[in-house]
Amino acid sequence: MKQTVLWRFLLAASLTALLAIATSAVAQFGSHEDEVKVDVSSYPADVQNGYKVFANKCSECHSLTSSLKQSRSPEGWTEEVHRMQAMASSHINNNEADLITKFLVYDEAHRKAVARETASAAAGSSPEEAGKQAFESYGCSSCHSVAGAGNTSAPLDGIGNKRAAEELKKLIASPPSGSTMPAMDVPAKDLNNLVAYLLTLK
Amino acid sequence: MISRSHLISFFCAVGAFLTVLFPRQASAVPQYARRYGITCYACHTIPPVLNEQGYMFQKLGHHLPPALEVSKPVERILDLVRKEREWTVANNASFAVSDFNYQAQKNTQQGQGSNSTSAIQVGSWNAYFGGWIPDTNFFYYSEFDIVTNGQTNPNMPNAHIGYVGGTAKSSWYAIVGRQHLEVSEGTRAAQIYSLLPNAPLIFENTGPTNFIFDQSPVGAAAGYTWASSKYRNILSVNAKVTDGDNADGSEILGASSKNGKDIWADADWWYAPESGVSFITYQGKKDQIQNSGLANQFTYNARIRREGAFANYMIGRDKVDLLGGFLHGNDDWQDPATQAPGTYLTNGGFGEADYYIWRGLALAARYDRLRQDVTGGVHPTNLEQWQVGAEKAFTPMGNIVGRIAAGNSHGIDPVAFTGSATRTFEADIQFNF
Repeated sequence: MKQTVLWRFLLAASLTALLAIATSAVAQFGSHEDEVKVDVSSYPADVQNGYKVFANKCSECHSLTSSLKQSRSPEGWTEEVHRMQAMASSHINNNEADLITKFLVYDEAHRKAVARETASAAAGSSPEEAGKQAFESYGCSSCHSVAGAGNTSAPLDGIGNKRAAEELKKLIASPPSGSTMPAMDVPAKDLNNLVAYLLTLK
Repeated sequence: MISRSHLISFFCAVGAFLTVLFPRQASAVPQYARRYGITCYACHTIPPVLNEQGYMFQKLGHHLPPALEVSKPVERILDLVRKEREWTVANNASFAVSDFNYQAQKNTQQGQGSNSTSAIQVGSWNAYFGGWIPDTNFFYYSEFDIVTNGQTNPNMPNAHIGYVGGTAKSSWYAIVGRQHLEVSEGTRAAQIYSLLPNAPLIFENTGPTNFIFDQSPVGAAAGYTWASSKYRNILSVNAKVTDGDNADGSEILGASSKNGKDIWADADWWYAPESGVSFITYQGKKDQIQNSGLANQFTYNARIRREGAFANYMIGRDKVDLLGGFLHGNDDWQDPATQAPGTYLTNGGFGEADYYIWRGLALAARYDRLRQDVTGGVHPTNLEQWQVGAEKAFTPMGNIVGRIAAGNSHGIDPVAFTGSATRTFEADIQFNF
C-alpha cells in the first residue's frame, strides 16, 4: 500500500516536472519579442538593397526583430557585421557585408533615432522614466531582462545595489574587451538617464 | 526443398532490407538553439543535416563557435564557457523531439510473391540532455530514445562526458562513455544523417556479417581540430576506441563474456562554403553468431574492416550540394552450413544531389550501389537503391520539418542468391521542442 502511494507520488512528481520543463522550453522557443517591423520604402535604393540582403542573411541565424532592436554606432555596426562575417557558415561576402552595414547605419540614424526622440519626449521629465524608455529604444532588452521581461540570460535585477553610477556609465560607453556587451554610442543625456534607471533596479 | 542456410539467409536479407528501408528518424537538438536564442539554421542546412557551424559546435564541446577574425585575439574555450548564458534545465534538455510518419511499402521476394504494407505511427520520440558544466571545460551529451521505428523501446544510444581544451582556432577534446559510432564524424557526405529519410546503403546495410555503423558502443574518443580565419578551412582528426560486443552493437551494457573491440579514425577537411572531404577507417573484432537458436549454432570472432572516402561540393554558396562516398569492406565470414572460414567483401558507393530552393525547402535525390562478394559465392551480387524526396521546414525557427520521399531498392542476397525488391513511399513530420 505504502509502495503504491510512493509510486503514485513519484509518477505525479515526474509528470509535473516534465510538464514544467516542457512548458518552459516551449515558452523559450516560442517567445515572441515585440515584433519590430521596418518600412524601407522611403529609404534610398541602395539601402533598400541592403535591407533585402540583411533580411535574407541575418535571419538565417537570428530573428530579424532581435537584430533590428539593437543599437550601435556606425563603427560599431561595421565591426559587428565583420564579426558576423567571420562566423562559421555565415556565407556573407564583402559586397553583402557592405550592403548590410549601409542599411544598419542608415536605419540607426533615421528610424531608431526618431523612435528614441519620440520615446524621450513621451517619457516626461523624470530621468528614471526617460532611462526606462531609453533602455527599450536602445534595444537593451534584446540581451538583458528586468523583472523577467526581455532576454533572461542576462538579468539586470539588483544591478542598482551592485554597481555605482560611474561604473555603469563606463560599462555602457566602453565595455571591457572580450565582453559580449557592444560599445554603445549613447549621447550623454541618454547615458545619464539610462544609469538613473538602472540605479532604481534594487 | 529450401535448405536451412537458405532460410537463414532469407531472414538475414529481410532484416537487412527492413533496416535499410525503415526511416531513420534523425532530429535536431533544440535546447542548443534555445540557449543562444538562434534558429536551427545556424547549425543545420535543414535539420538534421549539420553545416560547418554545427560541426564546429560539436568539436568545441557544444559551445557556439565564435568569430575568427583576421588579426584579432582568438578566444580560449574557457572564454566561451564564461560567456555562456545562464545554465537552465530548458537550455540543457529537450523532451519533445518526435517524428510522426506514414509509410507504404511493397516488397517482392523471388519465389515468394509480393506483399504490401502501410502504417501511420509515432516513428520516434527522443529526449536529449546535453550542455556544459558551468565554469568548466567539461560538457556532456545524452540521448534517450523512448520510441524508435514505431516501437516503444527505451534505449540510450548516447551518454558521454567530455573535456575540451585549447582555443576556438586550435582545440582538442576527449570523450568517455556511450557514443554513437558514426554520428557527427566526418564532413557532410560522411555523416549518417541526410535530407532523405534513409542513410546511404554503405552506412546501414548489414550484410551477412550483420555489421552496421548505426550502433552505440562504449569507449573513449579524442580529436584535434584546427580552423583558419573566418573558418575558410577546418582540419580535424579524430580517433575512437570502443567496445561493442556484437556486430550490431547490442549487449554492450549488460554482462557479457564476449569479445568485441572497435577502432575508428577519421580525417576531415571542410572548406568554405560548406564543402568537404573525409577519410574514414574502421577496424573491429566482433563475436558473430550464426544459425542463432538452431542446433548447429556457432560463434566466431570476425574481424571487420571498413575504409572509405567521402566528399561534397557546394555550388552557388548554399544552393546545390553534390555529395558522394565510397566505402570498402573486408570482413571475416563463416558459412552457416559448413562453418568454412571465408571473407565477405563489399564495395559500395553513392551519389547525391541536394537542391536548396530557399531557406527551409530542399529537394534531394540519391543513387546507391553496393557490390557484395562472399567466399564460395557463384559471383558478386549487387544491391541498388534510389531515393528522391523533398524536405520543408514549417516555422521560421526551422524546428518543425516535414518530409516526403519515394524509393526503390532491389538486389540479390550474396549468400542465398535470392532476389528481392522493395518500393517505398513515406512522409513524416518532425517536431523539435
